[in-house]
Amino acid sequence: MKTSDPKAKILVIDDDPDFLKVVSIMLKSGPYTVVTAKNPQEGKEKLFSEKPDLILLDIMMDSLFDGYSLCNDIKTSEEYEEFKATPVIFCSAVKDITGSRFNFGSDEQGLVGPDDYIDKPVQSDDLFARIEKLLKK
Amino acid sequence: MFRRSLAVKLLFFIAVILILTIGIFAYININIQKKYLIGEMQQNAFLLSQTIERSIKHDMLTARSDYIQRTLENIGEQEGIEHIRIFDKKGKIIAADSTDEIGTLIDMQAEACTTCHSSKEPLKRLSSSDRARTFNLENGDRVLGIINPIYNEPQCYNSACHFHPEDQNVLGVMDILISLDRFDEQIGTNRKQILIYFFFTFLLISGGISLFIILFVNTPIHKLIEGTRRIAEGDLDYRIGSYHSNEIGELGKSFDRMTAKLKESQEEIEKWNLKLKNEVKKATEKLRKTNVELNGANKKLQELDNMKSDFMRRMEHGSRSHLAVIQSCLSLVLKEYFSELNEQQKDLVATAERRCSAMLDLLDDILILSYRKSTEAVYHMEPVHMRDLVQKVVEDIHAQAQKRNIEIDIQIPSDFPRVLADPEALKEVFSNLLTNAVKYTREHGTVNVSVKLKKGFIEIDVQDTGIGIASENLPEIFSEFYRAPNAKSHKIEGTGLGLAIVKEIVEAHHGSLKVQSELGKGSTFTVILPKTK
Repeated sequence: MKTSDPKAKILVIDDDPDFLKVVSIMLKSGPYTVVTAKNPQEGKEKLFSEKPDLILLDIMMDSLFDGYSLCNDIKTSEEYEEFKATPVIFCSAVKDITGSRFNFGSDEQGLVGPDDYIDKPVQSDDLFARIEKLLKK
Repeated sequence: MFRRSLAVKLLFFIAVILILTIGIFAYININIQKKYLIGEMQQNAFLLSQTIERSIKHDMLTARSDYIQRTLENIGEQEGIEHIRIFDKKGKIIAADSTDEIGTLIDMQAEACTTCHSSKEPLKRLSSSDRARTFNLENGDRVLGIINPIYNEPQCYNSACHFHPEDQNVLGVMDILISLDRFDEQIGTNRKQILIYFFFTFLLISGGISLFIILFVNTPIHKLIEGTRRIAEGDLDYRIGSYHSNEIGELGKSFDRMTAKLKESQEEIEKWNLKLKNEVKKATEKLRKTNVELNGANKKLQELDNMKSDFMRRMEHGSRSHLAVIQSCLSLVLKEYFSELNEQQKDLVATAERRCSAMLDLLDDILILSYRKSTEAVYHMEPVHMRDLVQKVVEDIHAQAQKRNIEIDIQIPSDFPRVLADPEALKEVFSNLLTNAVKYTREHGTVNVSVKLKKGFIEIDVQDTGIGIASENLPEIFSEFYRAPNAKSHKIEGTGLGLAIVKEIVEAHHGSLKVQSELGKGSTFTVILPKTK
């Protein structure tokens, strides 16, 4: 949904269960409900079953490509047609140092990227601001 | 080519001289001979005339004119004598070898008579040379005429016939005409002979000289010319070989010696050339091997660097993941979502969170420094507007500065020349320097950024009124992880890497750093960068 519904649903995909735990608490303290997934495959399932308003996707080192390709699929694939408009925020534990996003070569492969990025550690005000900005669109 | 030949010119020259000299010689010779012969002949003719006169003297004295006539006729038949006659003093022929002339009067103006009778008074005496004259007869024959005056002598005017008076000087003239045929023939033969001798002399001399020139000059010189031509073509084996024992021969010998020396030099050069080629080959091979090694080493280094970068990334990921969770946990507890905390709990959690933050800062700085030091770091140089850049940095740290009432003053003119630098990296430099300046300055202090234009360089000064750096600590200030004692004692947080990062970036820009400080008063950090052309 495009409106900033007080109970907007956020899907968080991350392989770190502790992070899922703290981010869930953070988001629940705000005006959001949370759905979690441990990996992109589970994320896809939850996407179809829960239909969230926004996706917070962690760029995991071990399944880099899966994270990127899921984002690309959501945005371009026919299969994900109904979720095409769902905003995606990448969450990264690798900060950009050089001023240009380190994207593990996904640009060369022509994959469509997320709507926003956020670095770990995640500050709640920063996270909320970005979510609101994207939900308002 | 023939016209230009020295030999031909010489020959021609000699020929001309020979013709002239021998010609003149021959001519003079012929003339002298002629004169001599004429003289001799005249003398002989004269003697003959005298002799004839003697032979008829007796007959004249005895007035036997018939005897005289007979004698004359006889003499007239002699080969070589053309004509003989006697005139009396009046010019009447009284005796002659041809009888029909007798009694005729000859003209006293005739060429035979003019010698004496040309003047009014005839000559009394006649020299022997005057008595002779040469002329041509009617039929073309050349003759020599001798006039022999018959002088009156006592024998004559005292003779029995009493014909001639005493006072008569000349009684008559005997005129003999002698044929010059033989004489002319002789002269002709003589001349022919001389000419033939002249011609053969000329031929001989010319021929001799030609031969000499050909043998001793032309041939050796052509050999020399051939030699120089061969050498010019590169054939250093050519030798003249045989030499005459003269100057040209010497030249030939010298030439051969020179050729031999040239060949030696050439061989020497070739030897060295070969050696050089060999050395170059060896060196090139060595260079190639070294190059291969270097390439290998380079590749290895690159690999290692990549491995390091990869390692750092993985390290970062792990570290940050842990720290992120730790910080989030602490921050959530501190927000008192679940229950209130007592003062001590709050303090401890706050301390933990603060140190977690510090850990994240340290991680950031380590990664930045590692990146800047690696081969991965790329600098995209462009002309940078200093005022804009510094202004952006100041905006970022504005909040911290305001919190402690620190005033940041930017003294950079808008039209200041641009600096050639990587904008992101330069921003990093001034972010560090300004953050430091604010961090280490007390409340209500001032931070000042100014610029100076030097010859080809730009100097940017970041000045603060902070705690300053002790002079003994200044040398270490840019070292990795170094924190000055007074920084720690003032309880100011820091990673110790900020200035190390600044140094790394400035040096990568081929610039340099300067620091001036007074403990307790403040510090001035100067960045020196090359100016854009």
